Amino acid sequence: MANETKKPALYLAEYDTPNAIAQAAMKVRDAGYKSWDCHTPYAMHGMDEAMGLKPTRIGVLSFIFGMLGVATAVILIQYTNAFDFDFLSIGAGYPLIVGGKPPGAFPSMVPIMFELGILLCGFATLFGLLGLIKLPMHNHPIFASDRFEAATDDKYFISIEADDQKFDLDRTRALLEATNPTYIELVEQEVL
Amino acid sequence: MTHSNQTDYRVGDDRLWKRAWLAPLGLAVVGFLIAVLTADASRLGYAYLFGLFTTATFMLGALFLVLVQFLTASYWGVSSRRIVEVVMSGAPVVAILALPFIAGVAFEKIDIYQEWQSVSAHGEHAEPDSGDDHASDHEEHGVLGFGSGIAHAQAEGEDHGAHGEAAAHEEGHSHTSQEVALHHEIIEQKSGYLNTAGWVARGLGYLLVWCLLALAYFAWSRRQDQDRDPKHTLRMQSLAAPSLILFAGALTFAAFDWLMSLEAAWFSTIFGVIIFAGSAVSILALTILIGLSLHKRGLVGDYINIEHFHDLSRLMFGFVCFWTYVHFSQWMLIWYAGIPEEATWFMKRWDGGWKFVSYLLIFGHFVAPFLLLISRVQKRALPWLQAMCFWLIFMHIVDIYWFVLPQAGAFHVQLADIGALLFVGGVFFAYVFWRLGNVPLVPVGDPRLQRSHHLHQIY
Repeated sequence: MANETKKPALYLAEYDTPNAIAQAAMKVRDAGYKSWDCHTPYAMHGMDEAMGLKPTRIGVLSFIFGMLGVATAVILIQYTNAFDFDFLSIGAGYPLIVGGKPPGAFPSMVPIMFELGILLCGFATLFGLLGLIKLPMHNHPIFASDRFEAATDDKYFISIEADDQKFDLDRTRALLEATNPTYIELVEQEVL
Repeated sequence: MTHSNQTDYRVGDDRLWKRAWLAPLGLAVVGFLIAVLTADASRLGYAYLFGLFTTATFMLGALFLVLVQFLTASYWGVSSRRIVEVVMSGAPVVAILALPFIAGVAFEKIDIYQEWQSVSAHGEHAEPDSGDDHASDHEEHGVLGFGSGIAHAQAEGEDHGAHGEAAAHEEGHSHTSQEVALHHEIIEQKSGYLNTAGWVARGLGYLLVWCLLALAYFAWSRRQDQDRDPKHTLRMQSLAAPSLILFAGALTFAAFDWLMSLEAAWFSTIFGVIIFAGSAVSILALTILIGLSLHKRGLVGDYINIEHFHDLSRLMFGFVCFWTYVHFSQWMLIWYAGIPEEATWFMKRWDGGWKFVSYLLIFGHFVAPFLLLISRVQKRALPWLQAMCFWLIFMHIVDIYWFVLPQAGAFHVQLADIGALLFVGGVFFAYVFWRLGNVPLVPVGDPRLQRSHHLHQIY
């Protein structure tokens, strides 16, 4: 089947009902595959468990970067507005008195701490999310399959990608066939 | 977990909740004795206001939570709504407990509002009075006459009086007496709003609004338990928006009248919002605590489970942040303007040992809960969540204490304060817990109950 300019990209299995794909997902999960996905026309409750997806770690990333933003605000304000101190000859700040308040007074820093905290937290969340879900991605071999168009209509698909460590042309096909799909396809990808 | 014989989810024969109302009632008796035996007359007014307002905030938070759930037609909170509704249904108890307070102020037996009461009363007699020997010194007389709560200002006023005209020429004093006159002028200008008759009438109005809303929503929800008719839900939804406007207005102005006017010359427009934010935190913490106990004892089956506690705690976390946001905004604006008449309110919450309480609020009501409740893991660890809810309720009590008691002087927790809180809170929660024992613990007739039951938090 595979000629020299093409290599296997993924197996695609098609199911008719949500129940069938949930049952199949559990089998794939239990077989220990990592690089695979389910494609359904709508969000299905319970698929997280059926696929064995772990909670996202994005919150940890957001929190760390939020706190980094807070720390940045404190350091920046204190350095530039509170002390006459030249760190590694990068230029000294200047003790700034605004409204008769002491230079670098804590209350005046809070809005900046809040804003920078939120800003970096937002950046970390957005770009962390894009990184984790691997976007932007300009193309994916799965779109080579004509049947896959029904994933946005009325069919349910499982794809197991060839870069999965457990991927094997024969054994993976056998596993998918055991889940009673209505159709099964090896999608190929052009090498050159 | 679910007892098969409990189809309508009632407290029934549960050992704890059947008699739970006796505990707060006992505390109320103890609190009453403590307050009566230990309090001097000048403290009792502040102590009672503290106890009353702390208790009222639980009821107000509950009223808000019920109304806002109908406003948004949400289903996540339906299964835990009955707990909130029962707390809300204690509104008449708050009203009854508020009546002696309002009467005390009306007949000037409670002197905590003397600062403006004396000015507005003075104002009534202030018009040209032929019998007054000092008619020509009228303005000055006004300065001396008002019963200021500020010892400093009073001392200056007396000083001024002793020296008569001469004092005005003394450099050191003239500035201060100008301030005193200004202070007085502000209060006098407010007397159209801040006068005893208006205060009493508005106070009764707030209580009436809360009682009407609370009793109506509770009655409709109870009726739905029996007839399971979705039309009750639709009616409650369509009335939620105007009800919330009434509720918010009453809460804001109650905060102005009862708490903010303790410092008659001081003003802050966000004041009511701060009280509201604290109320929301307290009712969410209380709902989680009661819900956890009912859940643990198997009284609500699976209707209130970890998914609901997670949602409630998220909202609570949000309101902890919101409380901080509005509290800080108010303080920061006053701090950077640095105008004496505004800063005085905060000076009273800083000097005389109150600094510690202010710091306790910053760290205990924000920093600690923020770090200890931010993660999903923390919110879903129920014993942890339970401890945090107890802590936040304690901090809410400290918050209201910080609003009221600095007006009475230096930081010194008196038995009377605790007694008054135990008495008012005890009577209120005795009623609430007794009520809880007599109604289904979930709104069994609500059309959204099943959806709420199957609530599931996706990551």
